[in-house]
Amino acid sequence: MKRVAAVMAGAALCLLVGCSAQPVQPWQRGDLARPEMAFEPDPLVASYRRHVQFSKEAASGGTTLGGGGCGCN
Amino acid sequence: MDAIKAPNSVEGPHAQHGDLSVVRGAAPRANHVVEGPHAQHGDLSVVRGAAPRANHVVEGPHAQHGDPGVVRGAAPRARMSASLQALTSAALAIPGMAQAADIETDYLYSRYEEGDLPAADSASGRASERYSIDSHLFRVAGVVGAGNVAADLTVESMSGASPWWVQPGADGRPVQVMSGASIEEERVDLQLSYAQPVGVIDAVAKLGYSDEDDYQAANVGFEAQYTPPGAPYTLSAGIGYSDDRIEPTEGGSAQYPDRIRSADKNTWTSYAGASWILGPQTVVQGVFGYTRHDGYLTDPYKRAYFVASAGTVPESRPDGRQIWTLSGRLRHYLPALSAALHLDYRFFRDDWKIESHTLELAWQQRIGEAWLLSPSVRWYSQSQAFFYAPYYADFRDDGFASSDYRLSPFGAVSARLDLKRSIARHWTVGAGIEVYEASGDYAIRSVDVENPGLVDYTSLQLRVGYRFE
Amino acid sequence: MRSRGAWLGALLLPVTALALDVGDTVPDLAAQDQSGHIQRLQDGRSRVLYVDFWASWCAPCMQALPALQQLHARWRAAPSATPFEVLTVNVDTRRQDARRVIDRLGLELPVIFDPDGLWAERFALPAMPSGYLIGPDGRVRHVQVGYQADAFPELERAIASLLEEDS
Repeated sequence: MKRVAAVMAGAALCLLVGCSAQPVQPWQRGDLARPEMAFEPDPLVASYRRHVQFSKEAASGGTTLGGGGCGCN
Repeated sequence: MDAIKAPNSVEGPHAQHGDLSVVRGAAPRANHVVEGPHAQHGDLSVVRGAAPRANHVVEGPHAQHGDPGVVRGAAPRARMSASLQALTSAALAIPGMAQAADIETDYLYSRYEEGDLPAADSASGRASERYSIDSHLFRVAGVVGAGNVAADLTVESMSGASPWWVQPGADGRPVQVMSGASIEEERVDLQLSYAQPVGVIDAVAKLGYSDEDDYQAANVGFEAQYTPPGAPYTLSAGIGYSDDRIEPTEGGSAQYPDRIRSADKNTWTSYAGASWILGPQTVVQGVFGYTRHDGYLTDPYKRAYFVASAGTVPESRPDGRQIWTLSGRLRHYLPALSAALHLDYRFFRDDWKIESHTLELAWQQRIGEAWLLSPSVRWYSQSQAFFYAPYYADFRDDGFASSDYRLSPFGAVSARLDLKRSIARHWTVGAGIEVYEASGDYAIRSVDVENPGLVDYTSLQLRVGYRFE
Repeated sequence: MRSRGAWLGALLLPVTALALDVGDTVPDLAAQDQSGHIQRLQDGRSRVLYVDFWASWCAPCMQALPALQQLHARWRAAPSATPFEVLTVNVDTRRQDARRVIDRLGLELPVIFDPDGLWAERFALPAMPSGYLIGPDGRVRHVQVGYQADAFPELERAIASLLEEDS
């Protein structure tokens, strides 16, 4: 059941974003190279927000290494 | 037959005299452009042995040392830049945007203010002011040698009162007791990173130190990223270590005899993941993370209330914690709208039995060439730590106790708006605002008893950036 | 499950298009450049031609273009019967992005606008930027993948030997 759900989710995602079996060629990556398409377009604000959330919530981390004290009152 | 020479070679100040014994006697002495301080000496071991020594430009992170045997079609792939955002770039094997030899400087001021503790949730029966923080963030990033360096300095001053313990109110409903004296604290945090290609890997080394009156933390980290030639995916991984020391104010003093004097903890963090290009406008990433804390993980200032003794004792948490996370990120560009859609999700689970979901949706809207408007919404939910209670009827067998709202079951929603504008090529200015509200009602599962100390906050950012070319 | 395998395969497979390589004959393509001149790859003239593919979003391309312009300036006046020419092909989908770069860099080399990637596809570029040195016989003599400043001497030697062969 879970496997079917995963495949369905993958297919739905594919439909949603229009992915095809055609690989994206090097010269077709202009949109992907846009700064606003970065996983983290604004590192300064992102690191600030991570620190605030880290000090107010139990969950933290995921895609970064963290570090940098507490400030947790 | 005469050797053909390029007639108008440019002899820059760093021009080297070429070796004249060249290929078939015919290759020109070519002094390449020497434009900047990063010009490197060329590799002498070139194909067919007898090549000239040529100066070449190494202008930025994108200039790569070529394999000397590059000539015939069998050239290496265009190497990805070791940009500082290498590991967060959606671009995957797309040469980065940072230009050669630029130095980027940024300053961000942030004001963070927590909402008052409502009178109804306060043990004193009066509304109570909470925390506020003024932060100054400075960032400098540029090219050094064959790599990129970035330095991030944060200076913060914090003041206000914070939750101390929770006790039953008149109707048995938990109410919050706030720390009496207003806390005044400063934090200084310096993070350095250096990114450089090492063979086929883009590597980043990190080093940081954070200092507060009562807390010091030193951290190191290493991250790596690899895109197989021609592949539509990029692999990334990182590992980090942090060594922290806590020395609570007035630990063991006459006023706070049961507060510890000092303690240590350390943290190992690691992650591994992959990102895929799904289409010309779409990229996704999946990351698995594992973190392990050891040592003193208790908040030395907080206390827990026991009905049996009608009194409080210092809170106490396990001295180890293991965390697993699974994160997914999607970036999709809509050319017709000049906008990018961002979707981030994180699942979190630890051996304190906390389970959490975070979902964030952001929209990056370009307006003309200069403006970038970015609204976002975030939803967060967590379940409680196994030893948490707002207050305790009696002591637990394992001795653990904490009434910290951070370990309580709750949810939070926040909305954010950022606006940035570039001015005349070198300058960037911007502002942002975020409103955050925590509540038991926002949790994924219904919360029976909400912690009275849940926080609401508003934060405001102003920023300016300048790029030296 | 087979279909899922195919789907995964498509995601994981490296790009394996048949790239134009050393020794291959260039396709017979023609288009107008930014000044309205027709540029044809196989125009029957005896010349040494360097074709460079670039985009405004590609940082190493931005480094390669000025270097190519200087390369062209150095070699076009070489005392050879065969002329040396450089043709650049821009693959930006929005022409104003390309125009901005042309203005900013003061680019005087001829530029073909290839927003649909027709030229790029025929060459099957392995990466951005990619450059092709084409001999008087219309065959590829050298492929420059990516921009490496210290690979330029190689390119210049290849140009020199081609001009020599033909003079």
